[in-house]
Amino acid sequence: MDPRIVRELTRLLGPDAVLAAPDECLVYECDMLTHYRGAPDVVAFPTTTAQVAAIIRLCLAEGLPVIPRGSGTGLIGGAMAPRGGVLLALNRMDRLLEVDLPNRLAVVEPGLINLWLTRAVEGRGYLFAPDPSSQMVSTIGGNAATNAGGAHCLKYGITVNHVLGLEVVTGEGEVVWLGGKVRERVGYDLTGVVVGSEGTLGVITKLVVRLLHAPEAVKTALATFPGVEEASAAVSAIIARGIVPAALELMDEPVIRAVEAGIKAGYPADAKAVLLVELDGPRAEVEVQAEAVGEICRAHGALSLRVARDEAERALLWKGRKEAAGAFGRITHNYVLQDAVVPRSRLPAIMREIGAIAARHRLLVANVFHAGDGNLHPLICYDERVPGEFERALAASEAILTACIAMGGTVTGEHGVGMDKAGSLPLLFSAADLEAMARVRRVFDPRGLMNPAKIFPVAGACREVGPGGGRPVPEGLWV
Amino acid sequence: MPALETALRGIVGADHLLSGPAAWSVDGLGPRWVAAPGTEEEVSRLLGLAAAERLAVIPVGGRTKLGWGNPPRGADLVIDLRRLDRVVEYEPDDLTVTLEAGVRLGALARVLEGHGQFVPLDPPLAPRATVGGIIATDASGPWRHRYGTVRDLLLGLTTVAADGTVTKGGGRVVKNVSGYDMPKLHVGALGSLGIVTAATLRVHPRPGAEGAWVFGMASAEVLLEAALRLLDSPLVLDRLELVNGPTLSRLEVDCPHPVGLAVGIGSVPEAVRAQGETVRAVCREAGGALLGLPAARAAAFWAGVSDATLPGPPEGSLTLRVGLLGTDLARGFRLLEAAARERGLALAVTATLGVGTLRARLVGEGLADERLVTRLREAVAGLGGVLVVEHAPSALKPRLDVWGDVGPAFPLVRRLKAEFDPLGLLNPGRFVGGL
Repeated sequence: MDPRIVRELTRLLGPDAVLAAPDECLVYECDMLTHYRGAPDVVAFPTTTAQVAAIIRLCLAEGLPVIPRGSGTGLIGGAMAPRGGVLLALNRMDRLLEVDLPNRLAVVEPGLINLWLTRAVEGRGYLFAPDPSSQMVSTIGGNAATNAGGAHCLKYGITVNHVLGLEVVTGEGEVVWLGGKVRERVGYDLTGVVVGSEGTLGVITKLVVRLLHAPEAVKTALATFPGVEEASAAVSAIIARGIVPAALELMDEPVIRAVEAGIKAGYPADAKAVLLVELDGPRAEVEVQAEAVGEICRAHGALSLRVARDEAERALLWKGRKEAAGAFGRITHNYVLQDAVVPRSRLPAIMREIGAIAARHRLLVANVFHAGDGNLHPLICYDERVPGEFERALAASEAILTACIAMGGTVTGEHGVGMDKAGSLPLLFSAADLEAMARVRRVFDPRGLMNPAKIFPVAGACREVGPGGGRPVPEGLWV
Repeated sequence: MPALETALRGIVGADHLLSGPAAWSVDGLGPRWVAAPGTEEEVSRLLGLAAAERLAVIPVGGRTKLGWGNPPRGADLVIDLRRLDRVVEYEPDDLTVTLEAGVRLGALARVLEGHGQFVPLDPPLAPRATVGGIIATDASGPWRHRYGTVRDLLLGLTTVAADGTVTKGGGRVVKNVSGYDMPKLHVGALGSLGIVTAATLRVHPRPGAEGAWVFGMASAEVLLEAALRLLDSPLVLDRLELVNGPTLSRLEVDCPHPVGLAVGIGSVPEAVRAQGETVRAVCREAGGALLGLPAARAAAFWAGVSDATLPGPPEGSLTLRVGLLGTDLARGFRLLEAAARERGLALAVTATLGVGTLRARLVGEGLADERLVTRLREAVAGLGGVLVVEHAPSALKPRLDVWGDVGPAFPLVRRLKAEFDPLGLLNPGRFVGGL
């Protein structure tokens, strides 16, 4: 890296806000999908929008890529620098700027941790609805950049449904507000397209987000089943009854084993599938629906049904689910994680198909997923020390994705595209569809310097793919 | 130009092409042709031809909001999408439905109700409005309080671009982050980036029981205070609307008060009852008087609220949509009231309180003076809000920008339009900033 640029960044941000030593930059070489690696040349820690704009203008002048990053909990090869450049670590822009409860909104900086926002308003009965499993560490800016989902989006929608406005520094270094506190909008819904654009259209420097009033009652129930198919059928029956639970989460037997070996969530030992159902809303509604859910589970062969009696028990039932992927490190050396979606009615069919793919590739595939919206997270287990296993795991992962798309599903449900799925987008979209996206890119980032080599398939993108990953799988991987 | 007409007829068939029909004019501008394609491919060929021949294109659906937007710069070819009226795929278990753009909300509701489901969209003239038109205008009604607008229901979209290219965005599943969320760009875009031919929408289960109440309130300020108390609670309301007194009377709810607070709740019967009691207690405490609304008339009442601010006599009415912070709605109401009083106009107002949207209709003489709009708009802008004119008399409309100022994002808007419609043929001039 040209020392002149480091000097200029240091002049803009101060000496405590720039990392340029290769060993320090190496920390930022990947997100939590660790087999995509690319270290930035410089890491900058801006604290103001003006600094972000100045950095982007500097990068434009020098032709350097700009990569925004929050907590790096993404699972897509997103917040990393395959072409070098300047990585904007937005963690110091973490202020909660304004809470306006009468209008049920908050203004935040992108580096604010998701859960901190809820913590700040829960005493007054409010919450920020998007709750990716990483919410205790991931940033709201990162959630918006990837349009993160979470366990409760079945009922409450995904991040884009909760973002009212954004301050963005575009790929031309312009600071512009899109949307805002007033919901009525004039012009195109640019907020809606920047959310989920993974930093390829600009850098989000402020967000206006919706706050929801907390529900009057919450009831969490855990049912165990003799198999995933029975549990999937129960899911469909709950929806068919006109009940939209806040969350409907399913885990299969290998995951149950991993969770039990780890955090001892108290799941019965003979269970082959665990269905977590959370109902929330007006107390009278929750009571009536909980009765119905219990009845449906029993009718579909539930082995057991437990309703959390208090907040501590509810937290324990959830802990197993939220930490499932992390706990998995106990029973496998490495894994490839897939994030795909099928229409909910195809769940039993895709579970059979995944079983067949696993057998064909001689690998263990475990499933933990958002059953309510058909969002699957197959964990394909392998051991990097066994020659050929990594390649087989990737092949199985591709096969699962292809099967999901064939059933009317999609390429990624909530993690995003990044480098990982860029090559898969053409499975879903035609050249014309992708060209329409490229037009949007050109408007915001004509130079193509904002988080390059992500989302759009690039021929010969320089990337390092190897059977990396945790050794063992790091605890705290969230899906 | 007979050759062109022959080509158009060749695409849609002689039965589906009209020449020079005055009845189809937009802001007084009569189109040269109206073509009614029956397939996406015909739409694509029409737009391909339009691009080659530089024809200004105006897509229409149920024509319930044809007065929206600035007057068009040209109107060579109206594309009537009502023949694209098939429900492509409906899987009740998935809570999604895929349909063509010309499907009317009324027809859609009949398909879904057999499965106890619905698409919670209640814009004005909802039964006649088409899905494509709702997407293009992002029109909404009282249900927006709980369910948002079509923006929040739209999962996937097929559009035909200005050059005739068919493009898809999004998908058929509720969770999908595969690339940019392209459907969002078309919501409220008034067809300026492409013509919507099909969409996948999220559907919701229809609550088993519904309740509706209207409370007469002493003033907009008192009403807003009560509404904010309801909002600052775990109550789950379907609708929370301000309706001004004369409008309530028109809807056959006898209202001796200046404003009424209309509340709708949908849930299981037990929860409708329990929440209804809370609502009544809060409103009673605010001095509200429960007005008579028989349960059997509730559905008609809500439809009436959606339609309450539709234009009356075209040359004698002005309709506005005002967006504000929810806490400024009483101020917004006062601004409208003062403007109406000053000019002796009859005023109908509704407001979706939890969202911050006011809709108003002003009827009377002397609407041709644009200062009415410009002064209101300035006052609204002073509160950080926006004001959009949805209908204006023909003498007034050419002197207004119906959308108002887009603000600093306008250069991005303009460049997007240029990327997607470089020849400026789709609804030319009608969208923001004269795009």
